[in-house]
Amino acid sequence: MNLCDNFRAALAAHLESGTGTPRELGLDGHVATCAECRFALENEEVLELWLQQGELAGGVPAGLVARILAALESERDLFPLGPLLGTVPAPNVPAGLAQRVLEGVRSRVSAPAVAATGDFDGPGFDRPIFRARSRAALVAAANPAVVGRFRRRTFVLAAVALFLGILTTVVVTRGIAPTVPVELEAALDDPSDELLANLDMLEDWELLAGTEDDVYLVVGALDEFDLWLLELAAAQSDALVPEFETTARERG
Amino acid sequence: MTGTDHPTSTAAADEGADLMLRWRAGDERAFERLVELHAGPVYALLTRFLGDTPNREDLVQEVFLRVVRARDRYAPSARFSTFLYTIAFNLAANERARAELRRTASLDAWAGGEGDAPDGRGRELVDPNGVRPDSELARADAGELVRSAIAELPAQQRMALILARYEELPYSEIAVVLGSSEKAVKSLIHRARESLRARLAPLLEEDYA
Repeated sequence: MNLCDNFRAALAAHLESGTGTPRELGLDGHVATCAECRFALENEEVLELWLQQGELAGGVPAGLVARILAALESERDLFPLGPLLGTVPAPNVPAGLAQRVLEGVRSRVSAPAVAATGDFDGPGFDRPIFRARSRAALVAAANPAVVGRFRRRTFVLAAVALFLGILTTVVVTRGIAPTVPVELEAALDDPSDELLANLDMLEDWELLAGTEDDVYLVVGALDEFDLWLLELAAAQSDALVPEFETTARERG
Repeated sequence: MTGTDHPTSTAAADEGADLMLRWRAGDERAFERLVELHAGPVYALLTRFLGDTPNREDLVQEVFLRVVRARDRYAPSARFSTFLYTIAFNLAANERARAELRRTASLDAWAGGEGDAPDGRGRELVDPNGVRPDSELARADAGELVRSAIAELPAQQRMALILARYEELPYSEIAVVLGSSEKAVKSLIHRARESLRARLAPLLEEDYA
C-alpha cells in the first residue's frame, strides 16, 4: 500500500469505527505533500466540527452522521474537484524577474528624500517621511535594537510634528484660532512608553496591511480632537468625507 | 508552481529566515539571494490571485520594498514565506479593491452617457446572470474555466484555496497570512470548494459523470 492508501484506510477506519484520527495516528505528515488526502482530512475535520457544534446545540439525530458521510462520499465520487483544480497551469514567471525586482527596490530605497507628493492626495501628509523610513532600514546599525528604536521614535515624532504644523498652517490660513490640545503638546515633548509602543504596533500594522497613508490618522485615540482634525481635513480635501461634509459646510 | 519547486517547503523554510537574519547583520548578498529565491513564487501567487494584471512585477517589487523596511523589526517567529505571503496578500487585496473601485467608477461614468465601453468595445446586450452556452464551455480550456471560477471567489476564500491547494501551506500558516484562525481557514476552504463545485458543475458532470 502506498502512503495515500494508508492514509485513506486510517481515515475510513476512523469514520466507520471511531478509531484515532489520522493526525492522532501520526499519519498527518502525508497531508503536507498530498493535496487530495488533505482535502479528505479537511472534510472529515469540518464534519466533526459541525457535529461537535450540533452536540452542543442539543444532540445529533440518530443516523445523521452516517447519512452525511454517505452524502460526502457520493459527492466526492461524482465531483472530484482535486484533479480539476490541477488543470490550472502554473503561472509563467518572466525571465529576469528577480534582477529587475532587485534593481527596482534598490533604486527606490536609495532615492533622495525630496518632497514629492504628487502621487498622494491625502490631506497634507508628506510622503518623504515614509521614504526616509524605507531608506533607514538599509543602513547597517551597530546595535540595531537601540538604533532602530531611536530611529523610529525620531521619524514618528517628526511625522507628528509635521502633521501638526500643516494643520496649524491650514487653521491659520482659514482664520480659525489654532487650539493645539495640551495633551498632544505633552505627548510630543515627552512621549510615553505606551504611545511609543502603540506607534510601533501601528508601524508594524501599516507595514503588513499596506495602508501607510492612513497610519497617522490613527496615531492617537479617536477623541473629540481627532474628530475635529478629520473635519478640518475633510474641509480641505477635494473629496469630502461624506459624514463630515455637512458639518464642514456649516462651519463655513 | 508545483510543490517540488516551492522554496519555502520544509527545510528551505528556514533558509528564508536565515537569509533575513544574515542580511540584517550586514550581508547584502543575503538579500539578493532572498529576492532570487522568492520573487518567482510571489509573482506566481499574485498571478493566481489577481489574474493577468499588468502591474504584477510592480507589486512584487512593493512586497520586497516592505521586506526592506521590516528588516530591523523582523523576528523569525514564523516561516519567512508566511511573512512574505502576508505582505503579498494585503498588497494584492488592496490592489484588487482599488481596481474594483476604478472599474466601478468607469462603468458608472459609461452607464451615464452614450458611446462605447471604457475598453473601447461597443455596447453589447449581455445578460450578466446568463449561463454560458454548452458550446462555449466545450470550446473553452478547462484550466481557464477553473481559473475564472477561482477568480470569482471572495478574496479570503480565494487566497485560502490558492495557498492550500497550489502553495501547499498548512492551515496554521494560512491563518497567519489571512489574519484569521485555523477553524476559520477550514471554513473558508470548505466554502470555496462548495462554490467551485457549483460553478464548475457542468464541467464536472461532463468529465466525470
